[in-house]
Amino acid sequence: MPHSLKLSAAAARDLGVDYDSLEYWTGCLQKQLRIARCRDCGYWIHFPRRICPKCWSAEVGVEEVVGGGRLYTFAVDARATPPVMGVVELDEQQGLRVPAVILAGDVHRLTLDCRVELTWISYNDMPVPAFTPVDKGR
Amino acid sequence: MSTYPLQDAVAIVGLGTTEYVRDGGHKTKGHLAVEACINAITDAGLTAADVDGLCGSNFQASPQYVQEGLGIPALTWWCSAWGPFTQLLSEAVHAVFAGACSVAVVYQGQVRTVRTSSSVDMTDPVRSVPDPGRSFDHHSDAQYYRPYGGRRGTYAGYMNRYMNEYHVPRESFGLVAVNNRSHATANPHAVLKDPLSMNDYLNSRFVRFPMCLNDIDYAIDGGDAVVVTTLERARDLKRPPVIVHAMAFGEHENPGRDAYRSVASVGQVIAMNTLWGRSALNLNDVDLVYPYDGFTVITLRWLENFGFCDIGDAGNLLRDAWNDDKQIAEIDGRVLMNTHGGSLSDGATQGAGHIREAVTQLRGDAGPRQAATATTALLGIGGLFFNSVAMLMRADR
Repeated sequence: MPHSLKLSAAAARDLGVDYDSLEYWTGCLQKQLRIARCRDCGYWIHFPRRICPKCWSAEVGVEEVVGGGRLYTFAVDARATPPVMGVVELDEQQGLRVPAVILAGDVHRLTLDCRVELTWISYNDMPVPAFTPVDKGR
Repeated sequence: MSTYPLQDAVAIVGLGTTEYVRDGGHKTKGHLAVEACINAITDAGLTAADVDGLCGSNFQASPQYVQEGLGIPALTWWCSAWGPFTQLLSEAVHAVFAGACSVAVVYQGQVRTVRTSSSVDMTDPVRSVPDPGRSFDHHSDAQYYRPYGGRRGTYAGYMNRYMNEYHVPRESFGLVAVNNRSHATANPHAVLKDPLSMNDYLNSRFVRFPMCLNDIDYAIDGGDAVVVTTLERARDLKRPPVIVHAMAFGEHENPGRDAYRSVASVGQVIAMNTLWGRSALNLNDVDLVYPYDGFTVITLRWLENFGFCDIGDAGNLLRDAWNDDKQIAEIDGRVLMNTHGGSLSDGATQGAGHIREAVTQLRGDAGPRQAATATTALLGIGGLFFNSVAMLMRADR
C-alpha cells in the first residue's frame, strides 16, 4: 500500500479501484497525474496496467506527467455538469489518450486539437483530473 | 474456391419477434425473449424438443431462464455472449457448423430504462433503474469515467473527429435518419412511422453535440429470435432457408473505446476485409445493405467499409443515390439500405431488426416493402471498436 496518503475504503469501493489503478488514484489524492510507464521500454500505458503491452515486461511503474496535451475530441452534453467530456492526447507520447471533462469557458469556441492543460476538480471531496484550454481567455 | 469451411453451410430457418413498445408493456427482458423464441420456433415448424442449442446474453436473459421458459428438455450447447445480435448469431452458426448442436435458437430481449432513455417515467420502479444492458459498468475501465458521471460521449466524440477530419456536414448523417424513417413508414412493426424531413433532422435537439436526437437509435421494449440449423436440414423444414454465406468479426488493436488509433482504425475494417476473403461474392452481387445504425456515424462508416466509397464520403454516396420522391437512397440506382427503418425507426435492438428484415426480404416475405430483387444481403452490425460483425446472407435459389 502506498504510504503518504491513503484512499479511503469507501472511495475505493465507489470508484471500483483495483491493483492496476491504486497508484493512479493515490496520485490524484496529491493532485499528481501519475501514468503507468514501462521501465524497460519507456512506453506510457493508460489505462494503467502492470504488464507492458509493447514488450511484455512486468517492470511497470508510474510517473507523473507534465499535464500538457491537445484535445483529440470532445462531446457536449448540455444536461451534464460540467457539460464537455473530452479525450486528451498527452504530450508524452503519441496516442496516449486520457478521457476527462474539459472546463471550457465558451463551449462554442472549443476546437479539436487545441492545446489543453491539466487542472483538478473535486469528486466526493477527492481531486480528479480535468483539462482546460490554454488560450480560453482569447 | 473459397477456403472458408463455413461458407453456405448453415441457414436461418425461423424468425420471431414481439411487438415493440415505448411504454407500458410491463414484460421482463426474459419474457420478451421467450415470446420471440416461441414465435421463431413456430415459424420454423419446430417444437421445443427439436431445439438443442441456445444463445443469448446474460445481461438480458440467461440461456437457462429461456430454456426453462420454453420447456426445452435437453440442450447440448448454450452460450452467453455480449452482443450485438450478430455476435450471438455468429456463435450459434459456428456451433451448428461444428456439430455442437443441431438446431440453435438465438434471442434478445430488452426493456427501455433510464440507461438508454432519459425520458422514462422515473416513478416506474423498473424503468428508473439503469439496467446493465451490455453495459461497460462491469469493465475495470469504468472507474476512470466514474468521477465524470460515467462513460459518455465516446461515439459523439468519434463523430466530432470524423466530421472535422473529413469535412462531413450534419446533412450526411441526416440522410441516414431520413432514409431509415422513410422505409419505416411502410413497416407496420416500426415504432417510429411518421415521416422525417431533413429539416426535422437538422432542428432536432442535440443530445450530445454533435449528436442530435435523430442520430441515436430509439429505445424500446422488445424481443427477437432466430432459429439456425445446417443447410442440409434446413431444406427439409417449413420455410425457405436463408443461407449464411459468410461471416466475419473484427476488433481493432485498441478496443478500449476512447483509445482508437485513428478515425480510420475501427473493427469494421477488419471485419470487411475478412468477409470478402471468405466470400465467393463481391459488392456488385449485393441487393440490400443493412449497416447498423445505433448511431448514424456507425452507418456511414459501414457504407465506407463495405467498399462503396472512401472514408468520409458516405454522405456524398447517399446524396448521389438519393431518390427525392421516395426520400430514400438507391445506391447504384438499385441497392436499398435498412428497408425496415433500422434501429433508428424500427426500434433499438442491437442489430436483431436488421437480421430479421434481411431474412424477411430474402424470403420474399416483405409485402408492400418487398425489394424488387432480393437475392443477396450484406449486413454490418455492431459498433466501431470491439464488436463489428459483417455478414453475407443469400436466398436458397
